[in-house]
Amino acid sequence: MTHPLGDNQAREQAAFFGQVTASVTHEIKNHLALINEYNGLLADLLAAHARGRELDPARLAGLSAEVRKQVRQAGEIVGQLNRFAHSVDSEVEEVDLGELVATFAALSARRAQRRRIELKLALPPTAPRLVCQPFLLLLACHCLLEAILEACPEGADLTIDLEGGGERPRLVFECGQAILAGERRLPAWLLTNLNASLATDASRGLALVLGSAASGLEQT
Amino acid sequence: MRVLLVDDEEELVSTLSERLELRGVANDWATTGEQGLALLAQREYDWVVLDMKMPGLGGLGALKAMRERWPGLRIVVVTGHTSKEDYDAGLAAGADYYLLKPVDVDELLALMQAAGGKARP
Repeated sequence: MTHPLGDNQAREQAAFFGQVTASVTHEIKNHLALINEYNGLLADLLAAHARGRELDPARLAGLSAEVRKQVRQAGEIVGQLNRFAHSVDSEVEEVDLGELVATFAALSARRAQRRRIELKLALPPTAPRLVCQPFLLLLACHCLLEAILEACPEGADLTIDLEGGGERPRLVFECGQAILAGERRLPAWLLTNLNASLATDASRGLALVLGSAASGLEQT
Repeated sequence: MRVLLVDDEEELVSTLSERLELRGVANDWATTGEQGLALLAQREYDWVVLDMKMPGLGGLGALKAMRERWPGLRIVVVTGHTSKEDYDAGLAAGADYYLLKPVDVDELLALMQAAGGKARP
């Protein structure tokens, strides 16, 4: 049976879903591993105390704070993963672009960090809203990030800007150099479904010019 | 016995370091392969515990450089559950042992004690 989206499109979407969940579950595992290590260290300190070593209350308080931090961070990334999972619930919906970009950045931070790149956000206080397929927009962001990670040196600066508003907001992946993102990186079917177009800027990076899915449907 | 721990996850490696210290094992730690190589050049170590997934030089690059310059060093590579490629590459590049991440401090010590004073095969 053929998938209604076509085999390639379905495969690309499934691969994206798999990559994100694999990366985030790995990150959650890291938080759990750290909590386990802090717990082990507490047990070690108590065992050392039983052998006569003095207990340092500040050290214990520090470990307790570290555990709280890990639990908070794990909770945040689980929340973002939950948002991501729900992005496939409805085909088209109105989204807050700022929230969507923040979700994307949280889910992709680890991927970028492996290349020593910190994802920074430059979002306006009131982000534009757009009618779109949120999962596909996240996939497009992922495609742009992959193109940039492939082209930029380790440790490069990368900021995601959200510019403009109204009908055609722009998502700019700014890395200070021109990036070529052809069909291999950003498939035509994805741009069509998002009613979006790709813009390259020799001095900045890549930009996705977005349009409302509703107007896109009217045009096609 | 002196151990060098190399892992880019600072919180994890520093905690492992403290737990080893509480067990009387002298150690230092580094968060990049480059830092690890610099420490090896400064003092003598018996063991290196090396994470395979690191940016920059990476675990594999560091392992190859260590094996070339310090052939007698005993090296434990650390890999994730799903990184069979890292495991295979690590052993091919001259690692002596491997452990799954996160490293269990008692498992690591048991491995070192079992190897004892034996020279690297």
